[in-house]
Amino acid sequence: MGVSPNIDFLRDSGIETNRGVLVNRFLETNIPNIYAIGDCAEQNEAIGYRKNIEAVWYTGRMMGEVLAQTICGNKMQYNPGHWFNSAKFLDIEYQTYGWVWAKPKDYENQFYWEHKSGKIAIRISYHKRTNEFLGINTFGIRMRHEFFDKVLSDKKSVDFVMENLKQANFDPEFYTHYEKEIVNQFKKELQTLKA
Amino acid sequence: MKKLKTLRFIGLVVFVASVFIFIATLGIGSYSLTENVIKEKFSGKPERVIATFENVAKERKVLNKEIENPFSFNNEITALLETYNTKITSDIETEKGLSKAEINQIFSKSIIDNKVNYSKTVLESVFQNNSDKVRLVDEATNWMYSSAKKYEKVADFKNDFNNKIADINRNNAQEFLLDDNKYTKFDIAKSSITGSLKENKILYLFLTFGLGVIGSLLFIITGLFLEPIAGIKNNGIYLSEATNRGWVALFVFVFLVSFYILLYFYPYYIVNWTNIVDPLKSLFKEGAKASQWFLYGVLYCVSMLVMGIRMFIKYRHNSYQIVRTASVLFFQIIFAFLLVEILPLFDLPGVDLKNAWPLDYNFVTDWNVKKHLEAGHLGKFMFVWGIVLSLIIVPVMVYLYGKRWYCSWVCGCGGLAETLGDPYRQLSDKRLIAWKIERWTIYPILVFAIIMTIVVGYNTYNIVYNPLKIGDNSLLGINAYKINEIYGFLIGSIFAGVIGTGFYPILGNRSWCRFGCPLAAYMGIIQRFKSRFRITTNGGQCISCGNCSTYCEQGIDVRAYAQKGENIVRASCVGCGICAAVCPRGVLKLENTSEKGRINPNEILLGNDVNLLDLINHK
Repeated sequence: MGVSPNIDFLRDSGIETNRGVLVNRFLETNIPNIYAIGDCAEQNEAIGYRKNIEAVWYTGRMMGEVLAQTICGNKMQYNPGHWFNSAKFLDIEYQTYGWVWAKPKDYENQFYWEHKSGKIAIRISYHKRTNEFLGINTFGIRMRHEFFDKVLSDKKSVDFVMENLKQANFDPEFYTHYEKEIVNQFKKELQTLKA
Repeated sequence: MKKLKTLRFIGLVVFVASVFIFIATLGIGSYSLTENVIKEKFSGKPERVIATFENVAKERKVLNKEIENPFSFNNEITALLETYNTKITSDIETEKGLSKAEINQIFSKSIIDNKVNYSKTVLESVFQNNSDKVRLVDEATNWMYSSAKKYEKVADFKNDFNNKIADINRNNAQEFLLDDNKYTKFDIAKSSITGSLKENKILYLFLTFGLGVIGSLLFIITGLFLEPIAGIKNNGIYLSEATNRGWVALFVFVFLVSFYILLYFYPYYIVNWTNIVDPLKSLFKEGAKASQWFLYGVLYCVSMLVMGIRMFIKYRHNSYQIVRTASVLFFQIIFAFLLVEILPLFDLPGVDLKNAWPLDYNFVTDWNVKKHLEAGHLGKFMFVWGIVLSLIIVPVMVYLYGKRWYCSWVCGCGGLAETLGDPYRQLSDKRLIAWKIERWTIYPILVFAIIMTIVVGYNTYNIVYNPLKIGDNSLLGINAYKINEIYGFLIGSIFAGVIGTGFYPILGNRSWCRFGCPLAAYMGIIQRFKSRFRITTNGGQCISCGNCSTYCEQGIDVRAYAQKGENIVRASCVGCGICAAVCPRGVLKLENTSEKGRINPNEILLGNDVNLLDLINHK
C-alpha cells in the first residue's frame, strides 16, 4: 500500500538512506550541500503525527519552498503547519484538514454524516473530553483551507465548527447547502452520547 | 453499451445528413420575376414605379423568364434595378425637371458677352406658359441673382446652376427611385423563387431543423448514458478532429464563416433558408415572411437550446453551470428572439431590450431613436431604458457581481459562446503576448465606438430637434452615416459576426469578447478597479494541474494565480465558472465579497508554518 522511494541508484553514493534518503529538519543529508525533498526524503524523526516519508504533493511543494529559501541564503527549517491533503476518485472530491484517524485514538470521537446520494459525506474528529476540533474529512463538499487552518491554530471546539460550517463552505454558488442537516444530525447524536 | 453507441452514431449521421440537406436547399427551385412579384414587392410605391419596372423588365427580357442559376438571376436583378433607376430619373427629368436643351437655352439667354446676367425674366422667357416650372427653378436658384451674389466667372455660374438642377431632378425622382441594395434584392429573390421547397416548407423545415435537432439530441443524450457518473469528462479533447483544429473543425469553420458572409452581405443567395422558417414566422403573424434576420434568430436559438441541453448534461453536477446556462437560454429566447417578434405586433420597436450600448452600436442612430420616440409612451420608455441600462445598471451590476452578470448570464454573444462554444474553450491563446495584444485591440475599439456614438448622436440630435436645418450630417469633418457604416461593417459584422462566431473552432469561443467587444472593455475596467467580484483560491490546495488555465475561454493563466494563492481579478474574466468546475481539488470559487484585500499579489501559500514577519524581514 502506498508508494515507496526508488533510491537504488544512491546505494553506493555515501548518502545515508533508510527506506528513503535520510534528512534533518533543514532537509540536509549527511553530505553537505546535498539535500533531499519530496517522495524520496525520509525525516530522521517524524514530525508530529506525520510519517517519516511524506509522499504527498503538498509536502513536496512545502519542502521545496523551504529549501529554496535555504539555497538562496535564508536558511529555513521545514516546518509544516496543520496537516491537509486532497484527492479525487470516481468523480468524488476529497479534502482533509487536521487529523482524522482510520482507527480512532482513545481520546477521539468521530461524527459521520452522509448524504442519501452516497456521493457527499463528512467525518469530523474531536476530542472526547475537551471537545476540541481535531480534523475533518470532506467528500463532495469543498471546504475553505484558511478556515480550518485557523480553527486548528486557535484550537476551536467542534461546536464552533458546527456553528460556522456555512463559513467553511467553498462550493460554487447555487450549490445545495447541507449545514442544517449536518448540524441537526450532530446535535441528535450528541444527545444520544450524553444519554 | 453497444446499442447506445449505435444509437449515438445514428444520431451523428442524422445530424450530418440534415446539414447537407440544409446546404442543398440553396439549389432547389428556380427564379421567375413575374408581374405578381413586382406588384407584391412594390405595392407601397406609386403605380408608376410598378408600370415602369415591368416595362424595363420586359425590355431586358427578364420578365416572366425562369432562371435556374441564382447568380445569373441576381446579376439580372442588379442590372435591372440600375437600368430602372436611370430610366425613371430621365423620364421625370423630361416631365418635371430641366432637360439639357432647356438648360442650354437658359445659359444662352443669361450669358451675354461672357458676362452673367441671370434673372427670373430669363426663366419666364424660356418656360413661357409653364409658371410651375418657372417657380420651381426660381425658388432653387434666386440666390444666384440676388444683390449679394456676383458671378465673376461664367464657369462658376454654370457649375452652380447645373448642381442645383441636378438636385431638383433628383428630388423629383426621389419617390420613384428604388434602393438597389441587398435588402431590395433579397425581397425580390425571395418573392421570385419557385420550386418544391416553396410548396413544402414544413417538410423541409423538418428535414433540416427537425432532423438536425433530433440527430444532435440523440448524439448528446446517448452520451449521458455512456458516462453515467456525473463529472466533467474532457477525455480526448486534444485528440479529437472536432475540438483540436482537425478536419471536422475546419468544416465547421468554413460553414460558419460562409454562413455569416452570406447572411450579412449576400442574403439574396439564401432565400430558401429563410423560406424554410416561414412557417415559424407566421406563428407570430399570419402570412408574414421570414427575413434573413429571423432565420438567424431561429438558428441561434436552436443551436443554443440543443447545445444548452448538452451543457445541462455535461455539467449536471454543477449548479452554478446549470443555473447560468438556463439564464442565457432565457435571455436569448425571450429577449433576443420572442420579444423582438412580439413587440412590433403592439406597434413597439422590435428591439432586444438586453442589448446594451456600446454593444448595441446603432442605439443613437436617427432611425433607431425616431423608431422609439414615435412609438408612444412605451417607445419613449424603451429608449430611456436603453440609456439607463448602459449608464447606470451596467456599472452598478459590475460593481456588485463583476462583468459576469452580463457576459455569462445575459449576453447573446456570450450565450452562444457558452453553449455552442463549449467544445472550444481550450483553444483560447494563453500566452502572455495574447494578453498584451487583447489590450491593444479591445480598448481602441471602445474609443472608436465612443467617437462614432458622439458623431452619430450629434447628427441624430439635429435631425430630431432641427429637422429643417439642412446640414451635412457631419461633426468635425466626420460624416455620421459613413462612420456608422464603417464601424458596422468592420466591428459589427466582420469582427463580431464572421470572426467572432465563425472562428470558434480555430480561435476558441470568446475571441470577440476578449479582443473586440467594447462593452466588455467598459465593464472590464470597472471589474478590475471597482468591483466586489473575484475568484478566490483555496489556501494551499492547488496541485498545479493546469486544468483551470486550459479551459479558461478568455485565455487567463488562472493556474499562475492559484498556485500562488492570489485572487484572480482580471478585466477579461467573464465569470463563466468553468475553471472552478474543472478544478479537481476545489481550489477556485467565484465570489462577491469585501473590496478590501481583493487584489493580493503578495500572498504566502498555506502549508508551511512560516512566521510571516520573519520571512519579510529576511527579504
